[in-house]
Amino acid sequence: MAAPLTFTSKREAYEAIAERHRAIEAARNAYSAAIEPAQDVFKKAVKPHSDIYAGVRRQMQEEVNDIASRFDITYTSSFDLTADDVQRSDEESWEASESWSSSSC
Amino acid sequence: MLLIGGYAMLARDLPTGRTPKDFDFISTIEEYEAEVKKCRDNGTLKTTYPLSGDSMVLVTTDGDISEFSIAWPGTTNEALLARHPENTPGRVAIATLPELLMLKLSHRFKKNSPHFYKTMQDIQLLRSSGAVMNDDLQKLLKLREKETYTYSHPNLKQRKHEFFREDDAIYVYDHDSIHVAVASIPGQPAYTFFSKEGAEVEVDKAKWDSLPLSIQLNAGLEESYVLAIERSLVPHPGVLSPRQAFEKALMKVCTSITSGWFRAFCWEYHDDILSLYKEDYYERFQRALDAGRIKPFKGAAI
Repeated sequence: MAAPLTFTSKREAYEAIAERHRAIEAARNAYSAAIEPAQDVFKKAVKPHSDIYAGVRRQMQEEVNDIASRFDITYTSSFDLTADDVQRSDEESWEASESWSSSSC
Repeated sequence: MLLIGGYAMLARDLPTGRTPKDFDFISTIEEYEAEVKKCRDNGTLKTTYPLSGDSMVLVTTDGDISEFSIAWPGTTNEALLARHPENTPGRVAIATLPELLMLKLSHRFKKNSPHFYKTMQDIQLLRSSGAVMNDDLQKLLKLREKETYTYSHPNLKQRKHEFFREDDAIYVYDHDSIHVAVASIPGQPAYTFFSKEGAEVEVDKAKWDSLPLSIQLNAGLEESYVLAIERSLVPHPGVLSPRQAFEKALMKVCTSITSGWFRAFCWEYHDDILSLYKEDYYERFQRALDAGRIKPFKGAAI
């Protein structure tokens, strides 16, 4: 999935970790979106999403660990925290409603 | 480290009326990593991760959230830190009010920002407190805007059929027909007072400068009406009210849908434009539509 880890500066290393953090977050969000409306009887339908999330998280975490160890970076995932713990105000999806058609603007 | 954002405004005795959600710092990467180490060593580190190569989040077990904007070499962050010789290890410097004004101004046009109104209120508050940028900060503002706005804006130096591309697939009705329908002066859309001679989309700054404020305000008002109709009320009926669609459109006009002096004008006069809002604008459009005065969108046809 990821390109060979060829970057050399600490800034690039942080950017690479941020990319992987976002990938885990996107997989987690997809998983949450699938599981929230599902009742127990539908859990089987959710399993593929769960597997994808777990797979993405495992792979990304391995890559993050590799980068972090080479650049002496501390990274701790926030994904086991509740939403309130890390409620940062600029993470709202302002545009994510079905109320607007956008071209490039 | 340099404290910026809401807590810096509070520290400078400028209450925003809001409780800041997080601490915002500009710091070197070494200062950020030292904070992480300190929290790890004393057992208060809950989580830390980069949002990008330039911005890190640190959450402590007592619930404090800090965001560190990194002063990489050659950035405006580095220049801002250099303005604070009192920033020594273990001490936190506090940004001055003119610096805070510069920082707020540098992202006031940011596309789809959930902080649009907050940023506007903070800028108004900072200005009313007497904050003024000197030449150095003016230069830093220009540099920081280049760091902030990495996306392109619409190019008005095009023919109409190039500007409103058919492959955008969002237009149903002719843009200019909608302008006529919602014009504050019947039959005379405000943009026609400053259209460039012989151009279909481009505008003329000299003409604009000679206009009375009332027509300039109407230009921002009508652009927002039209945008609300063609981007929200027509393609997504029943989702937003005309007022909600208008407010969203006005934010777009003040940020990403326009650029240059027109955008700056609309941003500065946002509240004045909003005060001119007329609830019946969508009804006027619908009446014109029923009367056959709204042409269909022709796309790439010349």
